[in-house]
Amino acid sequence: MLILKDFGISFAERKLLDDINLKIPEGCIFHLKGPNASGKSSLLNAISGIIPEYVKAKTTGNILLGNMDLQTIPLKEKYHYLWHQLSDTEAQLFFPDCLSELAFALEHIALPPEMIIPKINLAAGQFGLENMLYRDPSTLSGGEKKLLLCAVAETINPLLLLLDEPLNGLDKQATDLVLKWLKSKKEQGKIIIVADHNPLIDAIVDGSFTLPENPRPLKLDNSLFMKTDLNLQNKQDCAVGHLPEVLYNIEELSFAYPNAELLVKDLSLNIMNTENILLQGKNGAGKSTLLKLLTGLLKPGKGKISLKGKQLQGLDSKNFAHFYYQSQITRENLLGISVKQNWLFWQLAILELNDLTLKEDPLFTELSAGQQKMVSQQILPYLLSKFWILDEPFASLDENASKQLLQLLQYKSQNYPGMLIVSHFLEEHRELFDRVLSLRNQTLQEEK
Amino acid sequence: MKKSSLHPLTHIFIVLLLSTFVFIAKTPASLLCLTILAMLYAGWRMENGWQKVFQTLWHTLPFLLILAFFQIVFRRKGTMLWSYGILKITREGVLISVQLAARLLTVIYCAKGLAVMNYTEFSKAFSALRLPEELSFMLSYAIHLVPKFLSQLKGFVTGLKLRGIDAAKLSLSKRLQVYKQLSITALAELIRSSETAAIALELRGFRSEGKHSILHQQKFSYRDLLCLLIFGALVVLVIRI
Repeated sequence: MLILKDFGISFAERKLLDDINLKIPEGCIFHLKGPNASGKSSLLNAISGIIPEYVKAKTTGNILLGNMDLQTIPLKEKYHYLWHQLSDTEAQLFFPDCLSELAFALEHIALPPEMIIPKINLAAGQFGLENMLYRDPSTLSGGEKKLLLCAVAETINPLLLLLDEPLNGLDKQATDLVLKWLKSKKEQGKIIIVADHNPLIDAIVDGSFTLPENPRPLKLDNSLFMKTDLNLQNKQDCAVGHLPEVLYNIEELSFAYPNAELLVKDLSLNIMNTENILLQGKNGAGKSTLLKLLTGLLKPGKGKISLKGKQLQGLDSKNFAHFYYQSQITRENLLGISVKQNWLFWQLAILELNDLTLKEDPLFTELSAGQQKMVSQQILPYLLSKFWILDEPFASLDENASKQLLQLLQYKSQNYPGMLIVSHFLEEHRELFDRVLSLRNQTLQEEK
Repeated sequence: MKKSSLHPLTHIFIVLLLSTFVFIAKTPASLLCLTILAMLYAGWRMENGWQKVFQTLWHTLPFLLILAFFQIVFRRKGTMLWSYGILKITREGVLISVQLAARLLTVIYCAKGLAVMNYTEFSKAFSALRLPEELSFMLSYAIHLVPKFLSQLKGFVTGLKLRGIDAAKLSLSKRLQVYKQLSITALAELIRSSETAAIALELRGFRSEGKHSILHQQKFSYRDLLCLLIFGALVVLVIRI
């Protein structure tokens, strides 16, 4: 049993969590709930020992796993007892290939080499990664990276599993795989704590705990997302006209990452500047890659992409006149080290932007994953006239923030149509889109 | 990264040999030979090696020429080769500029050759010497520090472009301000990512006590020994020129 007794966390003089008392028995899936920045990740960090060993914070109370005081065990020895999957997947992958990622912990357990390979094969097979063992993890899709970390957990197989947003960015099939895996871990008597905004997790949990809202949350200028303020963008230079015209012309496009199979093959497509498109596909189908090709971040292996009649020649700042792209990785959408600095860079791009009305200027490292995502999306209402290319914009957002973003997308789709979005969350909101495209077997199929 | 059948320790020894002897060698001929050896080594190790070797040379050339210019023009002592008014070129000035250029280039190419090695390879190399794995992590991070910093910076410049900001079109003061800010951010990210990497590895037992196993054990073979002997002999031969 995992016991948290009178547990609390304080950063400097600021109390984040206080008086938490939890008893989680073996064979139990426990859902840690709460809005963005309520302290879910911090609590998981404290249980695993990242707080206070790496993140300076004061903890009070006890964390017991059975009769053992977890706080007395150094982080480097905790892998015998627990696995902690961080919400920032990128940060947790380190090695040049997936095989090494999976083997590292097993080598440290001193498992004989002849036993390591079967164990890896079993774990990889469970998450459909058997053909990716020699691939560079950085070339995997966001969903595949999540699955790889689940496979790492499966190889270690400790008593306690701490999973921070394990379903984030997963398609339905992958979500089902992870849920099935969690159920099997529960049957094996493991203690599983999951922090995830995906409501599907509720179907399998045995208990939950909702953390109260952060007593001092970052007051983001959420009024930007209100309909009444959305006329602000009219002051901006609207490069995209409201008359429908071809924005993208894609001809026989093919692309593959080095040493990997083709992701898209002989793809031809026209995208109008006023079209609202939802792009679907399984994890690893190549959705994010296609978006990167459209922005010029990647160059086609074969074929050509024309933007407004001109062939796309790599990334060009002038293309911002036509579209705005947000990557799936939140940090890539932020510039500088703090919220205000990020906004200053936006003011450099759009001179008419007002200053941010924030009293504090928190560093990105002080913000939760959801808050960082919200900061990266603060600019969206000012760019309504552009064609939006957004990769998983709902990832890490809590219910409230997701609702606000959905309202914004509804507003844009009706008043300033023109977007291409990859999102598993929006599969239930197809009414927002004129076209739903599915990337399957290296090609696009029209679903709507 | 190009796969090499040689033990990672062999590569570390080769780099050590070259970068040490280039500071022992004194004659321009031996220095030049060592630099060529380092170029050949880096070209062999890197993906698209020859292209990268020449790119590096091209990018370093202006700096080397400036360095040579100052050494040649302002070194007054020694055998006079040429003079015009206050300008004097001495044999020692030329020799020192050649030495500096050759040593700098050799070190750069050695670092490039070593930078293709990842943590796993450093770990293999150091575990063969029974050195702790912390050292592999630290060295692999240190070797990749500059490439990582540059890649971070490149990522931020991409971020600027995606926002429609063309840094080249900004005023000089604004451009300096932007690059200063981005460099600070890249540095902060580098520190943060090294810490997260350490956390991620510790969560899988990095630095833990007790015996560890190795999945792909690579032994120091006769091929490694032969390669080191040939390379060592070559370096000694070159030094004697």
